[in-house]
Amino acid sequence: MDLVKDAETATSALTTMWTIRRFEEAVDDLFARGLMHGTMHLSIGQEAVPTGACLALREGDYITSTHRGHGHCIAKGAQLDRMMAELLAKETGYCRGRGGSMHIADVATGNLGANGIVAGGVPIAAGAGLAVKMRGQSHAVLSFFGDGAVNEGAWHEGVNLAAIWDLPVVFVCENNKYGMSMSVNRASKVDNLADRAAAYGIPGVTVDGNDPQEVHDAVDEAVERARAGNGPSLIEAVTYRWKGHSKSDKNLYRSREEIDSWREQDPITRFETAVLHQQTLTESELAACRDAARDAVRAAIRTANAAPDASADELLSAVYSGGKQ
Amino acid sequence: MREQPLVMPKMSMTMEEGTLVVWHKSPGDEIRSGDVVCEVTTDKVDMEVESPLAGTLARIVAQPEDVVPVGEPIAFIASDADDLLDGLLDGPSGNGSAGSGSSGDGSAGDDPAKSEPATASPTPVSANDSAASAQGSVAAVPYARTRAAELGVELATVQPTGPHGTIRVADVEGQAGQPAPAVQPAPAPAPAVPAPAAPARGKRGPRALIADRMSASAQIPQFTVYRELNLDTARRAGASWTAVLTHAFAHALRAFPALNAVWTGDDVQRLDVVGVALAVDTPKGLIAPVLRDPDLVTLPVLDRQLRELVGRARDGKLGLADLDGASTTVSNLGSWQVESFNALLTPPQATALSLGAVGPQVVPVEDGIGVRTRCRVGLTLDHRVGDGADGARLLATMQQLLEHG
Ligand SMILES: Cc1ncc(C[n+]2csc(CCOP(=O)(O)OP(=O)(O)O)c2C)c(N)n1
Ligand SMILES: [Mg+2]
Repeated sequence: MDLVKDAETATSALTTMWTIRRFEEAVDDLFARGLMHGTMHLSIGQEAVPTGACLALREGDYITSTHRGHGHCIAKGAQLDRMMAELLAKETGYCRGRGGSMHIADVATGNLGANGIVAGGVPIAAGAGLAVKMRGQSHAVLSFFGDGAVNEGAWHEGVNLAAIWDLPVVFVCENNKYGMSMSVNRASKVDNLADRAAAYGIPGVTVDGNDPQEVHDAVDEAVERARAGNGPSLIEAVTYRWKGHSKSDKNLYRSREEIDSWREQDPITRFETAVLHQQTLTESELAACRDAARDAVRAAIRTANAAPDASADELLSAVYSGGKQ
Repeated sequence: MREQPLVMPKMSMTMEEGTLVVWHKSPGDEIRSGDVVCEVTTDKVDMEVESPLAGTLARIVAQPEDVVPVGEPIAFIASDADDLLDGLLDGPSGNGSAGSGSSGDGSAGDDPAKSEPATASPTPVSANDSAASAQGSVAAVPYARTRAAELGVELATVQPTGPHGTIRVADVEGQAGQPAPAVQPAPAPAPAVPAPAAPARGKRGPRALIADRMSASAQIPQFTVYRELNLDTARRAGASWTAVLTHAFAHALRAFPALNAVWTGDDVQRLDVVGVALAVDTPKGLIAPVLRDPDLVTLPVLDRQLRELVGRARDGKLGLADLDGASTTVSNLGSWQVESFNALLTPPQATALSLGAVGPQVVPVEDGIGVRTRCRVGLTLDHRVGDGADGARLLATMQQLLEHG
């Protein structure tokens, strides 16, 4: 699939990236104004990874996500108003407003859920892959996680199980250079996190995570491998988060210059430039993608804001089964 | 080009207002999205404010030392960028909580009451809540509660037949047929700590935060127990006395989990982590960064951590996370040759420890008079959390730890 030369795909990729960006900007603004509950983690700057990766998936495929998961949800086709409602603690949210940013799951689109536990999605992805295999299906499971996850025990266990049982899982590491304030260079001895794949006897590649085409190509190959029954792969997509780790991050562990240099490699600007250069889309078509994203996000906020607030009165119905017969 | 508000951003889950520290841009300056435009302080930690938009700084409306509630404008930026939220938050919403924010047309005449975020006002305890918690204190299986609510049955009036006096579904349904006895829910108790008045907008100097905390502390029933600790045989391993005493104190707190706690307004909440805040005197005033589980590291490591933390506090390099989760605060005025003092509690912490000067003292010993290295410490306790004997036992344990390592 050529994201840059095919007009329809380019439009879709660009609109997805803008939607993620706009959604998170809106969320950032809502939090700044004191209108959002809980904390959240923004993936602004990393939009090319979920966008490129999910374009290699089709209906019936699964993903597992992370604490920084808005982009994964959107790229996998979640409804923006239900996401926004979840973040605004509304009854119409994906988890009826009870989970917030870090607990959005959407089984309808195969999104097995964001996860507040670093590497928490990795064993879940292995489990989903096992289910697919036992049922004799041809779906793929894509597991997103950060660079911090690769040093968790759960990550090792999940990847190893997927490897020894040839499960149809694609492990996508969003290496944004830091786990909270811990630089990836201080946390791992290997040069590329993809080198870890060797330990599990599976293929591993490192790609430019700010280029949706590169991400897509690597994921596409891995998905085909998975569907063919040849087992999992590890893809490391190198990218950068522009915003703090979460709220109340003073950026004491990195310099303004470093942040600025990555802002200059904005994946969206780069993609727009490439698409214009190839004359796939015109300036006004680019603007139309931007407007579509903005309008979709605004409509989501409007719908979500008008919905009833989640109520604490019957929280237990989400804990015990059989409450209402 | 339109003027769009730059609001006092909420930068932590608990922040409700911020104080402007310094502007890095002036009216007329070009701003890129993501540029640092000013710094604000919350809970004494300075945070950089990034511009969410590209444009030109048009007007500044908050000056250094101004206290501004979260969500209110501190400046306006003239920008061509979309205001994503423009006009969205003025309409009706579920509870009106999102019905704030500036309307985006840049009019300075916005009614401040209108843009007061709902989260900024403490939620009063309502009679409903307390009735619910009265129901909550009766043991019942969850579905029995649901049925009780549906059938309008007062749980307290139901005869339990389950194990340990737990009300079962059948108990509720059996009761439902009978007329309910006239039991009135207890009136809502007054909140234990009066809710602080909504913060007034205005200038607040550096003493204001300490004034708030210590005025709240003065409402707490607290007392201090003093003891001379003998340090002759204490292992020092080159560490400072503050580190030695903090190490022993943290060990003692772990041994008395009932005191490693905070008072939540109506009950004691024990903490899993031993969080010891350290009162540090800095050029910008008193600040108390927190050491987490200092007893779980060796003394030399703690000594290093402590120096590093104090260094960061003095350099203004603390993050909000550095100030979270303490059950106690240690203050040391020993280096000023103060013999002893009474440290006030920092709410909601259950204890505070004051350290006086460490030095040789002439004391009676078995065969006459001797010279011993000693330090007089004062342990302040929230009397709602513990009693005098609890404090005395904790200090005795500290002394034992210092003698035997
Ligand atoms: C098991 C576990 N350990 C620690 C944490 C606290 N924590 C939350 S996010 C995070 C950093 C994760 O870094 P990374 O995986 O690189 O993801 P990023 O935040 O960079 O997207 C940590 C340590 C957690 N949530 N779960
Ligand atoms: Mg990371």
